[in-house]
Parts: sequence; C-alpha cells; structure tokens
Amino acid sequence: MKTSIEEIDGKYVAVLEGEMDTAAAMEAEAVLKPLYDTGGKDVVIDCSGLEYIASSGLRILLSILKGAKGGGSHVVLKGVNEDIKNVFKLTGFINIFEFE
Amino acid sequence: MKNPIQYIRQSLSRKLSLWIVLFAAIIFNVALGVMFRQSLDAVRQEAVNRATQVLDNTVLRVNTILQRVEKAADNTEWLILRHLNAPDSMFVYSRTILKNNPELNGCSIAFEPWYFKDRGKYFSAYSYNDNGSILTTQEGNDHYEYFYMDWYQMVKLLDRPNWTEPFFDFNPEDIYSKDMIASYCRPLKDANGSYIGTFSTDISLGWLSETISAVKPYPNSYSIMIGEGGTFFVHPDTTKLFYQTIFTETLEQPDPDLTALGHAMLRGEEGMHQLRMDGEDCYVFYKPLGNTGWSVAIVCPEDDIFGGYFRLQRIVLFIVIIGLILMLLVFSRIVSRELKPLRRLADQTGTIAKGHFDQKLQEDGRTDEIGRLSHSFGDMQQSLIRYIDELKETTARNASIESELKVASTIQASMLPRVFPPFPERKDIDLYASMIPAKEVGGDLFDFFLRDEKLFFCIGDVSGKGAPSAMLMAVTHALFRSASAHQSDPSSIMQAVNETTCQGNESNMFITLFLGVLNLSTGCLCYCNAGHDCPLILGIEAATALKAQPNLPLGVFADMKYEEQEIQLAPGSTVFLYTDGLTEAKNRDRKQFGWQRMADILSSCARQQLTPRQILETISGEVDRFVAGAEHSDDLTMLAIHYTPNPVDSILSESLLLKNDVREVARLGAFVKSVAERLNLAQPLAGQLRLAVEESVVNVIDYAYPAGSDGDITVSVVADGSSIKVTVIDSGIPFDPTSTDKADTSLSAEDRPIGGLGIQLVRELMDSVGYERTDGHNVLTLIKQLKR
Amino acid sequence: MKKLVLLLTLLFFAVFSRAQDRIVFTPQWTAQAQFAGYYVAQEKGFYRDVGVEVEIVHPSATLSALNRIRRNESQATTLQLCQAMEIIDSGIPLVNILQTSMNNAMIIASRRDVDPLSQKGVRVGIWSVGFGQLAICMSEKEGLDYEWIRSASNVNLFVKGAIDATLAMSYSEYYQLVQAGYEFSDRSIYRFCDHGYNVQEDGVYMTRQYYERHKEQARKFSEASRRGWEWASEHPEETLDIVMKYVRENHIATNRTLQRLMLQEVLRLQVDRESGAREYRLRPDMVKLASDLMVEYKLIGHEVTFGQLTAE
Repeated sequence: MKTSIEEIDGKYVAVLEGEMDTAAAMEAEAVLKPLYDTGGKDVVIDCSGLEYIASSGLRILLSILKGAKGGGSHVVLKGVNEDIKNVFKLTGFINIFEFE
Repeated sequence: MKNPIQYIRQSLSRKLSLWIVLFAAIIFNVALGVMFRQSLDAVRQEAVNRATQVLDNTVLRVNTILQRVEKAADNTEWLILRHLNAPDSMFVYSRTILKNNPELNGCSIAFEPWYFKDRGKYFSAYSYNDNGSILTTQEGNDHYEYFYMDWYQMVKLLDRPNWTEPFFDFNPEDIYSKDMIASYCRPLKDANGSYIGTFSTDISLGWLSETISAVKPYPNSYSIMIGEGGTFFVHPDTTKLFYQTIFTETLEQPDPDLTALGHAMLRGEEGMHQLRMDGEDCYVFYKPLGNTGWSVAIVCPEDDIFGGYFRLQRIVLFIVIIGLILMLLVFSRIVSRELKPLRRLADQTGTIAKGHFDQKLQEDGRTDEIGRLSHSFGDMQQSLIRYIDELKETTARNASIESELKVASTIQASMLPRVFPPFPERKDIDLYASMIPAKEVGGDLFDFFLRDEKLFFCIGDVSGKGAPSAMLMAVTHALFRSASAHQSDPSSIMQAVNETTCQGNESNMFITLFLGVLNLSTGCLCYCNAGHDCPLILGIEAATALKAQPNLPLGVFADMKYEEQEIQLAPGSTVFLYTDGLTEAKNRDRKQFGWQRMADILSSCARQQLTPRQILETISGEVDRFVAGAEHSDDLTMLAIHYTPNPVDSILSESLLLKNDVREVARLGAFVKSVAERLNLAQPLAGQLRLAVEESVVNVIDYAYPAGSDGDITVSVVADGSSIKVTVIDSGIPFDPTSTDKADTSLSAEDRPIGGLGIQLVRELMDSVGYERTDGHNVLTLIKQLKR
Repeated sequence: MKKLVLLLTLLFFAVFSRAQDRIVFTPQWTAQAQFAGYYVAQEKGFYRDVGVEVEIVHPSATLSALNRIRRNESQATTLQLCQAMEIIDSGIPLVNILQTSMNNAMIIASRRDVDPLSQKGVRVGIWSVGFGQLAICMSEKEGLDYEWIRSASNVNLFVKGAIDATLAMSYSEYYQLVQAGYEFSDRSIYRFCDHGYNVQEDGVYMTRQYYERHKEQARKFSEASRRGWEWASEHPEETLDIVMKYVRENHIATNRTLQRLMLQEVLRLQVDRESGAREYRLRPDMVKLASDLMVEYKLIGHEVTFGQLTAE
C-alpha cells in the first residue's frame, strides 16, 4: 500500500493507493499523522487508487475528520469506489464524510 | 262489567257463592215445586169439594121448594078432574090452591077452546096472590089467546108436566106481575085420557134468584142460572138477565169451552168445567135444578180459589229469592274475607315476581289451609332470596372466570407461534408444534427462534390457570426472548428469566420450563431444565428420555443456580418436547395416558421415521382415542424438532493457521483471496468476505490472548454451492464478539466512538455470525449465503 | 072577536096541520132491528126534513098492529106481502107505500140433523099471528102433512122438544135458536128463498082509504123512510145504537148481538138477488107467485094483483 501527503493550494492532499488492511493501516497512520491537526486547512484524500479498507483504516479517517472538524476545516474524500462506499454505508460513515 | 262470565270467573268468592246459591236454589226449587204441586192439588180438591157442597146444598133447598109446588099441583089436580062438569068450581079451586099454598103466586086452570061451550071460546080460571088477598078472574080473551102461550101448549105437546121458562108474566087487561115467574103446568086429561086443558101454578122466583145469588163460596165467585134455552135468569150482571143466553157471546166470537159448558148444563149434567169467562180463568161447578130443566152454576175465578195459594206461593218465592240473594251476598263476603289472605298473598307474590324479593309476606297466624299456604310461601320466598343471591355470586364468579379465561386464552393464542413450517428455507431443521388448550387455559407455552446459526427453543407450563397464568406465560415468553437475544447459553438465559420471574412474584406462581439451544452447525444441543418434563429424543430405533437435571421451576428461588447440559444431537434425530397435559390426560375412568404409553408411541414413530407434523398428529390421535370424549383438564402442548444437518459435501475446505500478530493479516487476505478465486466469487462478495474475515481475526488478535503472549488462530473455510462457512477458532479467553452492542451508526462524527466498528462490519457483511465456546476454544462461525 | 077568530084560525091550522102532517107508524112487532130504517129516519130527522111528524108506537099485547090500523090509531104499519094479500083478500084494501124487503127470509129449522122436508107428518111450529102462508102452501104442495102448531113463540117449544121443527125468520128466530145453544147444519135448515119461494116480505102499508086522502104524506113518509134505510145500510153500528135505544125504551128482551145479527140479515135481504141493488119496490113476479100459490092452496079466495097492492 502507498500513502502520501502533499500540501497543494493551501490544502492537504493525501493519496491512498492499494489495499489498506489492518497492518497497512498501522503503517499508514504514521504518514497521515499530520492530518490529525491541519490547523484549519482543508483535507482532500484521494482514494481513487484505494481498493480495500479495513476498520483500522476507517478509524484513521475518522480521526482525521474529527481533527479537521475541530479546526473548522473540511475533509473531502475523492474517488471512493463502490465497494468501499458500501463499507462506508455499512458503518454509517457515508453520512459524516464529504465525497467527491 | 264488561263480561259477566269473566267477572265471576275472576273471583273465587263469587264463584263459590254462586255455586252454593245455585245449588241451594235448585234444592229449594225442587222442594218447593213438590210442595206447591201437592198443595195445589189439595187446594183444588178442597175448592171443588167446597163449591160442590155449597152447590148441592143450594140446589137441595131450591129443589125442596120446587117440589112443594109440584106437590101442591099434583094434589089438586084430581080435584079439578073430578069436577069437570062444574066450570065454576074451577074458580074455587084455583083460589083454594092459593089459599092453601101461600108461596104460590098464581094459578090457572085453562081449558081448550070451546071446552065449556056455554062459556065461550076461552075459559081459564086464574087466581093470583095480590099482597095477601087473592083475586080470581077469567083470563082468556081475544087479546089474550092463552092457547098460543108456552105454558099452555107445552104440556099439551109434551104430554107431561112441565116447568115453563121463567118469565115476566102480564095479562094485557089489568094485571101486571113484576116478579120473575115460573109456572109448573100439568096437562089436564079427561076420563078418556084426552087432553082438555092445562093446569098451571105460578111461583115467584125472586127468592130463588136471591138464594142462588147468595151462593158465594169464594169472595169473587158468583152464581148463574140458565133456563132450558140457555137464557140467564140469575146473573150478577143484571143487564144480561133475560136478555142474553149463555151462548149469546159465542154468536159473534166462538168460544168452544163456553159452548161446551152451556150444552153440558142444558143436558142436565152436573160437574165442573175449567174455562175462561169474562177474561178470567174460572172453575165452573154446575148442577141441574130438579125437573125444571134449568141449571145452576157457580163460577169461581181461579184467582179466588187459588188466590190465597198463589199469594202464599209468591210470598214464599219472594222470601226464597231474597234469602238466596242474601245468601249470595253473605257467603260472598264470608268467603271473600276468608280468602283475603290469599289475595294478599297473590298480590305480594306478584310484587316478588316483579323482582322485589324482599317484599314482606304478611303472617296472619292462621293454621288452616290458607295459613299453611302463607307459611309455605314465606319459606319459599326466603329460599328464593338465598338462591338468587347464590346464583348472583356464582354467575358473577363464573363471569369473571369466563372473562379471565377469555383473556387468558386470547393472550396465549396471540403469543405462540402458529406458522408452520417456520423456517421453510432451511434444510437442516424441521419443526412442528401444537397447543391444544384445555377448557380453562392452562398456561402452557412454547417458543423457538433462530439466531446466529443456533435454534433457541423452550417449552413450559405455568402453574395455575386463568388470566394470571396467562399473564405469567406472556411475561415468561418475553423474558425468554429478551434473555436469549444476547446470551446463547441456556443456563444464563434460565437464570435471567428466573431472576426476573422471582421479582415481584407475590402470588408465588412458578413455571416449569425446558430450554434448549441447538447449534445447527455442530449439532451440539445445550439445554437446561427447570422442573419440566424431560423431552425425548427420537433416534432411528427408539425414543429415549433426555437426561436432564430437574432443578427447580422458575420463580421459586431467585438465586437458584441452573446448570446447563449438552449432548451431541445425531443427525436425523428428533427432539420431542411436551407438557404434562399429554401424560396426564384422563379418560372417563380417570386413568392417565401415562409416560410409558407416550414413549411407546414415540418409539413407533421413530421407527417409522415420521416427520414432526406426523408425530404430533399421531400422538394427538392416540390421546383423543384414549380420552374418548372426556374433557382435557390441562393444555396439551407438543413440540417436535427434527435435525438433519447439511451433509458435508463441500466444494472447498481450507484452513489457515495464524499467529496472533496483526502482521499476519496480509497472509489472511491472500488466503481469503485464493479461496474466493477458487469459488469464483464476484468482486464485491470477495471483498466483503475478506473484510469480514479480517475484522473477525483482528478482533481475536487484539483480545483473545493476553498481551504479549502468543496464540494460534485457525481460520477454516468450508463452502458448498450454497454458502461459505468461515470458522475462526482460538484458544484464548472466552470472548463472544456477538454479545457486544451494535454500534450506533446514526451518531455524528464527533460522537462516534472509535471502537466497535469491526464487529459491526462482520455482522453486516455476513449472513450469520455464531459464537460458541467449546472445549476451551472460542469458535466464531461466519456464514455467507451464496444462493439468493 | 078578533081574538076569537085568531084563536080559531090558529086552532084550525093546528088541527089541520096536525091532521095533515102527523102520522102514527106502528111496526108489526116489538122494537127491533127489523125496523131500523124507521128509527133512523126518526132519530136523524129525515121525517122532519120532509115536513112529516112521525110518532112510532109499537103494538102491545092488548092491541096488535093491525087492530091499530083498523081503528086508525095508527096510519101506517109494516106487513109481510103474503099477509097483506090475505088482508086485502079479507076485504080491507091496503096500499104498499114502501117495499123494503126484496127477498124471502123464512126458513124451516129442524131439531134433528135432517132435511126438514124429509120429516113428514111432524110438528112444525108456526106463528099464531099470521105469517107462514108460503110454508103452508109449500107443505101442501110437497105433501108434507105437517102438523102445524100455532103459538106466540116457537123458540121455547123448539128448545123443549115439544115440536120437531119450526118456521123461523132467518133474521130473528133463527138467531134466537142458535143463541139457545142450537147448532144447525146446512142440512137441517130449509130456506124458502132457495127453493123457488123467494117472495118479498116486509113493506109499509096504509089503508087505501087513508092513502087516497094522504098521498103526499105517504110519499114523503116513504121517501124519508127509504132514506132512513139507506143511511142504516151505510152506518150499521150507529144504526145499531139507535135500535138499542128503542129496544131499551121498550124493555124488549133481546141483546145487542142478536140485534146486530138481525140488522145485518135484514139489510142483506133488502138487496135484490137479480140486480144486486136495493130496489125498494114490489116485484110483480113475486106478487104473482104469491097470489097464485095462495089461491091454489086456498089461503085466499081470489087473486090479489099487483095493482091492488100499489098506488094507482
């Protein structure tokens, strides 16, 4: 699994690629840690290359969201595929995230 | 009084009195009738006797005088005949007769014309008595041709002595007689026997008239005398005298009775006739007067004769009628008075009948029939009141019982599962149940449901009957459901139910319950019994009792420890559960159906490999036959569960051994991927499978083993065409992931807890999640159905 | 003088008028319904209406009707036709001024229930006063050889059985006999009128001598008397009352019933058989019959003609 963060136009853009199983999620967490507190900057997470996500991954996303909300910034998930969207639905995350 | 008959009918006193009076009247009638009839005859006879006697006397007296006249004439006749040659002597003789016989009025010695040739055509020596002095003359002349007179001619023609009809005689020249006269005449015959003249003696009939008129045997009776032509010579109505005959009235108005009387009298008969004269019914007694040809009759109006009699009759009748009326009134009153209590009784019972049961019945202290009746009525009233009160109570009680029972049976009926087969899509389980309620709802219950590949079932019997039992049954049912919603072991379920049941169980009701949890994957049956009849297991050959500890029924001790037991249910066996309504079903001889009989029948069913439905129907039939129409005293509940697990003809069976290290997840993913490929699973399904398995395993990794320790996790996959079964087994601490609460997915981000997602996903993604702790292992079974 | 003339004139007129208009009428027998018409005319004033003063005097035992006529103590009387014819034959001419009877009323009544004509030689009562001429003729004609018993009254003789049968007038003795209790059958009554002897009877007669001098009076009397009879025929009950008045005044031994029956019968006999009306006239044929019979059986010496009996 590949994880990267960029700051573009005043936003953080994270790219997740591949399968984020529980182990991969632990590793990705380290990379994504800065997103927990963006200091007001919006976050865009590019999930177009994401094929699989486990509950740990979801937890990371949730943390990001919580942090962003606390700072008044937005989190947008881009390019989430149907299978993963289904997972979002099953967990109710479909309602709390913004999708593009 | 609209209808006199109705009026009489309505009153006993009237009826009685009327009957009495009627009867008395009849008796009076008969008695009086006889008496009056007899006395009428007596009176009539007396009258006849009297009148006849009077008449006889009168006639006798008259006859005596008439005879004297006749005698005088007879005696003198010879003198005349001796001296026929001396006409002048006739004057002497006619004179002498009068002298010698003062009662005579006059006397004529008359001869045929020219008998004494020198004396001329007429010669009749006539003397008459003029107030004592006797005058004599020759009475015949051209103006008085005596030859044509009745008195002269009659004796000539009849050739015998004759009395003339009474008449007012007058001689045209100078002699008038003012009285009624009758003459007794004798024919004068010479020595050759030839008729030469008539000798006639006159007698005044004034005295006769008086004598006869004076005859009055009865106040209104009167006498009449008629001559030979029927002419009235004596009659109270003086206008009729001489002018009318007894037949005169019949000339214009025929009267056969009167005519007959007249003829009888004229014939010289004596006797009595009854006829109507002058508008009155009369008795007429008649008798002839001597040789005169006259007849005397006494007319006695019936009213006279029977006047007194009828008066008496009327008085007696009047008395009798008044008496009867009085009798009627008095009896009516008396009977009425006697029956007053009866009337009162009738009124009062009428009031009672209207519903006023406490209407006081009056006592009047009589000891006769009425008194006894009153008394009996009083008794009856008392028992009636009592009876009605009892009846009210009983009815109320029954009603409440009825309603209770209604409520109970409604509750019961609405609660118990009714749809069979309940899980038509499952091949491994066939279930049938029936509950035949007794007349009074007994409070049996049964229930079953499927959760996480486990069949939870129970059967129970609430103590008592009626609504309270039904309520408890309902409560128990709810408790069972709620307790087994997140607990899978029978003992905890049982305990939970027990605790709640014991709370607030003031009525100390208890429930016997048998509870079972059948793991459909493994065939492992965990069960717990609370005082209920042990079920039977039907195998291939026979039905045997399941060994189960009886324990105590629920609701007795709150802290009762319920131990569970388990057996392995062989595929193809049937669990048969029942309540004591079956074994205790009684027939008319009060003999019980019995456990053995039931067991034998079930064995027979087992041998026949009958389905649950068939088994239940067989038993029902047998019970019905046994009971033979006697009523069920208790509910008859049966539940049969037939277990035929899917045969293990799987397409795939793989397993993977992992360490409890999160880094093993990759391997796991690959494993699942390969399995999915093998099964040709479509991508969403495959991904879901992987996610569910990963989450389950991660859970185990995270919690099963104490931190830092190593542990094995086995992941097995068995799949056939219709489903995939993933089993995650570890030997860590007991942990049932299925017992955690579902996550609340409606919470906002801020409010969402971090944890709990994994299990939720597993639940959502898999069709069935089952957990079991077996032999120190946690066994988590995930099933995903492939066929839809 | 003037007073005397006046007195004489008055007397003359009184006498004259008296002699002219007064008439004494004597029926042939005692007061009875047989003479009802005359009583009615008197009581109803019919005589007065025609200007005739009538005094009705009945005969007495001492003085018979005929004697009264002879002595002119009565000027008019009633007689039976045969009787009148006898009288004329004996030398006293009579004039019939009114004929009332148009039929014969005489019967023979037998005491036994047999035809009187079958009783040959029996005693048959006959009036001593001179009726019964036809009966004598008939009995001689039929050769009945009756022993005629003359008497003043036949009723008692009949009743006593002294005679076997009797002559009777259908309006008089007949009812008396019935009143005496006799029940006659049709067989025991022989009616002369039914056997060819239907000769009229009662009529009013005057001596021819008197008649010739008092024709007007006779005519008036006749007219009024006839009117009386007409009235009687129309008012029988009232007439009966009038008759009973005369009966009572004269102390006659009869009763209302007998008088009623008599009146009925007398009125019936006044109706002519052939014409059915009251003719009030002598029938010449009857006169001839009577005359012939009486001549034949020597009751009268010479024929008496219709002309002799009637006026002119």
